[in-house]
Amino acid sequence: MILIMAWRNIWRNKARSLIIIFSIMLGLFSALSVVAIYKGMMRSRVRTVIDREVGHLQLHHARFKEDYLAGFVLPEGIGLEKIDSMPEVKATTRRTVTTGMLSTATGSSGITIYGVVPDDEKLISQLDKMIVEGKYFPAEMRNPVLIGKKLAKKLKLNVKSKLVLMFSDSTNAMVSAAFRVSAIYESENSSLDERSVYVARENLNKLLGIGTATHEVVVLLHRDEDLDRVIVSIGKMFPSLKVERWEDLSPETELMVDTVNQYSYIILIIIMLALAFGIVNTMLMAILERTRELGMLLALGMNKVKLFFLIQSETVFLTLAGCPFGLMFSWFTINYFNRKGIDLSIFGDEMMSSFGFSTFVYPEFPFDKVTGMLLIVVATSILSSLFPAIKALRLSPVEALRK
Amino acid sequence: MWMLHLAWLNLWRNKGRTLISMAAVLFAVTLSILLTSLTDGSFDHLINNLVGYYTGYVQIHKQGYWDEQNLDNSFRASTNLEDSVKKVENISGVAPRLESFALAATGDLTKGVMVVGIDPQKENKATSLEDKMISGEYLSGLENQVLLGEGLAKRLKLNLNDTLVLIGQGYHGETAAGKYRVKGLIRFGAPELNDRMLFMPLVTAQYLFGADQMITSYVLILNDTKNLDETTQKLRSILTNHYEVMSWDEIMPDIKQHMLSDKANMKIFQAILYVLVAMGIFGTMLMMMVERTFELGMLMAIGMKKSKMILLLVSESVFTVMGGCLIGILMSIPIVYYMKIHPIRFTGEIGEVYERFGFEAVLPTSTDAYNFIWQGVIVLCIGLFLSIYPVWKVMRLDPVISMKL
Repeated sequence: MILIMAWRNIWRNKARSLIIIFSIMLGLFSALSVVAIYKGMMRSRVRTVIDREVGHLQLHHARFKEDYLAGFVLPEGIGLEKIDSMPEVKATTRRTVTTGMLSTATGSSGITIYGVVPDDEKLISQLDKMIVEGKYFPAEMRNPVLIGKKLAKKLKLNVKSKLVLMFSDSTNAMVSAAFRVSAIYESENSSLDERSVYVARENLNKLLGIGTATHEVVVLLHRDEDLDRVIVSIGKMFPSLKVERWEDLSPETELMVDTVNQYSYIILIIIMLALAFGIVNTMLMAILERTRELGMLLALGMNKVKLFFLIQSETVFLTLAGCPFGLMFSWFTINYFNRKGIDLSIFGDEMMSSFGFSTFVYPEFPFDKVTGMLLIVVATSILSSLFPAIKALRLSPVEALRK
Repeated sequence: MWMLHLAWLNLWRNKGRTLISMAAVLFAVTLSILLTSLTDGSFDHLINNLVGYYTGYVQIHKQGYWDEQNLDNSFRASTNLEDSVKKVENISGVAPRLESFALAATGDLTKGVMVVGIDPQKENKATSLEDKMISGEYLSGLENQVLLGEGLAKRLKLNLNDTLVLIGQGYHGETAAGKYRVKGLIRFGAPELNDRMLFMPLVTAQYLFGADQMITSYVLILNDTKNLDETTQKLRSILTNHYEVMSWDEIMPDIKQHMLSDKANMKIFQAILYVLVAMGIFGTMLMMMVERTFELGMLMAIGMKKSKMILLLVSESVFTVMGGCLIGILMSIPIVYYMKIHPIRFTGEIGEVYERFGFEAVLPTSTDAYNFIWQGVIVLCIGLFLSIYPVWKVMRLDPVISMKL
């Protein structure tokens, strides 16, 4: 009986019902889009880190990372090739890594030198695609080196400029060698561009005096979800090596992801409060307008508990009506922008790319959070209808009818 | 005038309704102020953290130093220059630095390091270096001793009172070499600094690099970090072309861009919030018109002109919205101030990550008056725009139908 009455009440004042349905729809939409935008941003950042910078996981000699000593190479003959044949693995590469100093006639800068196999690197960090000027390891050049755009600008280097790399070899003696810039690259993370230079592994190995040994294995998987499983099995295969996942290799990314998560919760709270106040106010006004009607019901002998439920069930109906619309609307909008992307470059060209972001944000529908969001929105609207409903209970029929 | 009076009386006649409408505006204002001041506050906090690390808010170099950071682009420190800089309003002092890259060697280990010659007392005022000490003693000014970043010390396997050798290129291509004792260790949150910074007294550095009396930069000590643009403008006008003045956003464009991008995102969220509060305000207006149809119909029936009625309703809305905005601004002041003194604190895992970077894991609010006023004005505009609805409703009002309850 109460339910039928509530249902009819909703249809009686269509404008009011619509506005509440609309607020709920909008509330759900806002909540979902905030999460979706953040999720999209983080996803692209994480993708950049994995696909362009560190891969899913890396293996080093247990002590190599302490101070990048050239002598701590990966031991031979422990079957590192086994990783290549794992079904989850998409690609692997082996690098020689050392730190040192790059000097030119005008200045010098501290850098990390990566000795890479040019063909493998194409699959792992897509280094060849980041080149803005020059050629990717041309065969005719002796001792080619790839440097970042930022470093090139800082030290006034061009393609074909000569430079000297200085570092210590496996016996800890200082080595310096002349290299020629074969190409200038620009990645999405300009602070890395300033610090990393790439040379051919054979050249670097000769200078370091480590034969065919390497320092680092980078592994890229087909799917992110396999990481936990793969890392356990690789860890078991090579207990003496240090196996790290991308979160450990790029702690700044972890900091960013965490901050952004925290932030999105605070924004969610503020948006939910706005939604709640909107509903409370609209419902309060509705009660005010219906004083006479509700007074009449009381005078006719409806008991207060039933009246309370009447008002509550009206809100519940409206909320339930608003949610599916909100979900559908969010789904379509978010998916539209997921394909098209929101272009943030209108706010400045170099802007995002200099911090490792791409300039487009592709919001992602947060399936894992939908239930939570729905619960929050429904709870908010039901809680906020309590206040008006209680106010209705306080009505005295005599007062209410006198108008 | 009587119209305003009538509007005023109307507001008092139905206090409940007025209060609810005002509350809608009030919450709208409070929430948007809260969102902006949280965003701005956390940005300021971040800037403070980063700038206080090392760069300072403003630096002066020889023209062209930033593009080619080497000793040949250093300049002679002069009291004349210092005095004229100090005369600029808002600048309380300058800290000279001589920076250059060198190799640090100990035993059989070699690492690239950033050597910074500083005036210990002045440097402390600019970036509070002494607070970052974790062991040993701070520099006093003339000794042949150095402070090392904690990460660097670990990599070089150095402890307090151990010795290290620095080799590098000095002023005009001279060879620079020297032997120094470790006097203290410093902890920087950012690994980039922690793993490569080395501080020594300015005079010692000048001797090492053969750059007598030369420095590469002045870091300015400011009284107030707002109005930064104004201060840099003034500096540029008094300094000749021989020098370049750079503020932190030119020194660290990455950070600036990161902030701009976050601010761009915030604008999207702010827009969402405005739409939500607009819905809230609109809801109350809608219900108000439903409730008052009878009353307005009556007024019309007894001969009130529609134009007058519109004026009446608009003045009522203006009163309500303005009242709501004002109270909202007043109410948010204590809330925002409270959250500045007792900021939201990140706990758990993220708190640890922050600590690791040397940041205080808090989210303080900004108490910039600008925010309060702007957000108030924006919500005021939204409210006034929405009061078109009652006007539109009155225009279509038919007294006969509206009085038939």
